[in-house]
Amino acid sequence: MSIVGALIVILALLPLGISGTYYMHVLILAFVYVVISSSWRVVSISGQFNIAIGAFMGIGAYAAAIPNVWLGWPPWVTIPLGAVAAAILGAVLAFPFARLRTIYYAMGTLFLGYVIINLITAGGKTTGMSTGLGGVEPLFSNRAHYYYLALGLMIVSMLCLYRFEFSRIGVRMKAVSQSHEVAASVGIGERRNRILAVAFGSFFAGLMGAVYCHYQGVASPSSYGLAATLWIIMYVLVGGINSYWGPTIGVGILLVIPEFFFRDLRGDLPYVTAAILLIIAFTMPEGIVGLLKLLRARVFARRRTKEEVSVDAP
Amino acid sequence: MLLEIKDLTKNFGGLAAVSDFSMDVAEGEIVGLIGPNGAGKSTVFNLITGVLPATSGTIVFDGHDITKKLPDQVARLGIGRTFQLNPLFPDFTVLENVTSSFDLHPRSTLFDIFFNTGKYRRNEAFIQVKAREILELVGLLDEVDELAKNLPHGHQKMLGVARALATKPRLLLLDEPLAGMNPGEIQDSLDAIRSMRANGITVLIVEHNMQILTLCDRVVVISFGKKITEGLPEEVRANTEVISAYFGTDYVC
Amino acid sequence: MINVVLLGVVYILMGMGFAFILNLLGIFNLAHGAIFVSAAYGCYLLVVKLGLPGFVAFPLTVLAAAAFGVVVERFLFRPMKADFNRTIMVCIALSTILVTTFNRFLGTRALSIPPFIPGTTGLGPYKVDTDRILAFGIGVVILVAIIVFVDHSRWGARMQAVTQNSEGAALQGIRFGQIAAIACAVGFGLAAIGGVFMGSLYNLTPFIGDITLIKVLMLVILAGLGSFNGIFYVGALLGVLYGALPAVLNGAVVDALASVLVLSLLVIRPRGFFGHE
Repeated sequence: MSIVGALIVILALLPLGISGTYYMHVLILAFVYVVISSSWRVVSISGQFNIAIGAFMGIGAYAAAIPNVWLGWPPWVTIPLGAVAAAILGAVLAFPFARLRTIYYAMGTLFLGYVIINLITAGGKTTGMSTGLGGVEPLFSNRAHYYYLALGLMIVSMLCLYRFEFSRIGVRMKAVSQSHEVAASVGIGERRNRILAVAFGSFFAGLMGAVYCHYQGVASPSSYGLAATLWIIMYVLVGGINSYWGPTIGVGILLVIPEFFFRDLRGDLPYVTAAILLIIAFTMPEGIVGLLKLLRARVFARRRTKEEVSVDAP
Repeated sequence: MLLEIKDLTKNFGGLAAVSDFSMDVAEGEIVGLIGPNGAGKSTVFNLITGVLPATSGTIVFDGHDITKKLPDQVARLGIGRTFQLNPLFPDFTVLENVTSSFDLHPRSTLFDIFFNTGKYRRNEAFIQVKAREILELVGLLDEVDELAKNLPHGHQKMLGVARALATKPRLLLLDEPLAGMNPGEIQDSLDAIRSMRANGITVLIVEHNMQILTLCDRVVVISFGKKITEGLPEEVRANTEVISAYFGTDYVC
Repeated sequence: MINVVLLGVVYILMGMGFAFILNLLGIFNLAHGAIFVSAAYGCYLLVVKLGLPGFVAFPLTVLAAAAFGVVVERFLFRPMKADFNRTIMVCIALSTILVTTFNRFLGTRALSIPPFIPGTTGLGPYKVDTDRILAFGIGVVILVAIIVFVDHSRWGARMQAVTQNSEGAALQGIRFGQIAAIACAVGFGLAAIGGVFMGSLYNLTPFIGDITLIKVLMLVILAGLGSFNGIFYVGALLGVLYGALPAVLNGAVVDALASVLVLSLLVIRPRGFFGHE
């Protein structure tokens, strides 16, 4: 816990020390993706491998952009609107998929994401079609203000997600994920809880989508398609899908570190990512966090045997 | 009458798994439902709890018609059950299996849970205490932190019963609770079921093992989906001749 | 007109290949689109850069894809022990490597594999590209061969057994390794055929792989769990939908409309229409 506190303090003070808008930009992006990846992970706790999350980020973005550009609504209205719209649509669209088993759920949501982006692209002048909708009103003029907003939202969102996972709500989700029949026999409805998980996850995806849209000034469909979703999934899988901090670590490794330190390798980044994925898949399916847990267990075991030996020795 | 089943029928395509089956269970009774393999005992359970939809007939529980209700609705009305294959929550510990089953009573709303209200915290504390009480009743208190999938078979069965008890059922459906147990475990289970009745729970047991007769107030015999006979355990046991003729001698203990 | 039919054939081929891997191995092959596209690019390389005639390049590509399938199954899929998360990671990695590599060599602009038989043939009152007729013919032959294989051969019977009950099948001595290899070989091979067709008859860009895969996913779900035959019917429907509608409506609207229609079908019948479970 103290590490986290220290990290937050460092992040909060960073803009005062670092000059260079590029690094700040990367961190803003990172904060956004930490939230979205963590909320994707929360959905996966209920046993749903959702491949439409990018599209819900997009729904949030467009639900904020459209009223802003065409109706002149201010950002502090459109951003919550985006989050709520994503949550509601998430709940509604989750309904047909709420009883599907893992593989079919994944296939179905992959198609769902595609349909959503399609509908957006076919939306005519209102959505700006495939080129996107420009002229979205910026929230602030100073990038540092965006930084603090993103940081603040990240902290609040992570707290909400923590509460969701580690309370009875999380227990219900895990129950449904392990056996929906046993869960039902105890009064935990499968459909109800799975839809709740998706709605909750979509809320945060939509929220950050809307925020980022106002930051960038444009909403374009290519940012919310399969590629975006796959990146989010990768952040979680590499970091560790079974750990609360997994997605954060994944974003750190796959987004922050390459952008900070390896910018010139951009062309080769796909190969590096693929290599990382293969290594994780073969040797540590629980991600980096899984590896850390394993190492910690080994260290403890070694320490314990040392103590046993010294106790028994005369 | 706590449970009234009238003319219950279930057809799978052309096959009648259960036909015109009727029986009652009064509050506070321990009733046994016995019959050979494939007689339809588990099907009756599945029909009562709503896992399977009935083809015709009615099931009334405590005045409510539950014929068409879904499993989680039936659970909420006060019927708990164990499963023959006894699926548990494999990745939860023994304690978590039971505490997660306390979802209906006491009930915390989403708001309570998310904002960690006083009511939620009180409920959770209560649940922790009650869960341990139940685990003590079934004899699993020593293994609270063991993962369910790592338990020996007999203990898994008792965990299944513990889970069902957590829903504070008025009627508990036990599906072959003694299957796969050694004699020691069987005695423990019989004692545990007696304590349940002492705690005000009505029990309907489907069982293969005739030792259950020592426990039951009444017995209903089913074969090929139809009720053959019912009565006091002594009467049914006296009918053992008839039963073994029907079912074969390996059924008599 | 023939375009519509051809599109249907491509979808059926792709769907069949995907279904082989899904039903027999229980694996969601997210890299299927990458195979589709890579085969197209591979064939393009053979024909355009190496100057091989179509009749050589095409079978070569397909065989290479099938062989690749066996290798992938043995060394990438099997070690994952059917764990969904691990398999997805492997598929993403595979897909990324393939697509990035081909992008490196061939860029991202639209290409087209030159027709195997240039020119047109008269077909009634219409003039049709001979190539399309050839593709259609080959496609039909392959699909018929698949039906024969699945329904009437010994291997087919074994595969059906595995689909319906993998434990029982194991007890009967059907060796998993062989089935797995065949499933992936056929799966990847069919994807390759579909890819080459798509690449020569339409434009070849890096994106068509995933787009086709997504459409095919719906095909497989609608066809139903474990079904191979259903893929024909639904594939034909999808081909009509995505092929014929553009003539009437604007491109993007077509996609949207067809997608919504497919989604509604899924809502009505989540288990698919022809499956068995």
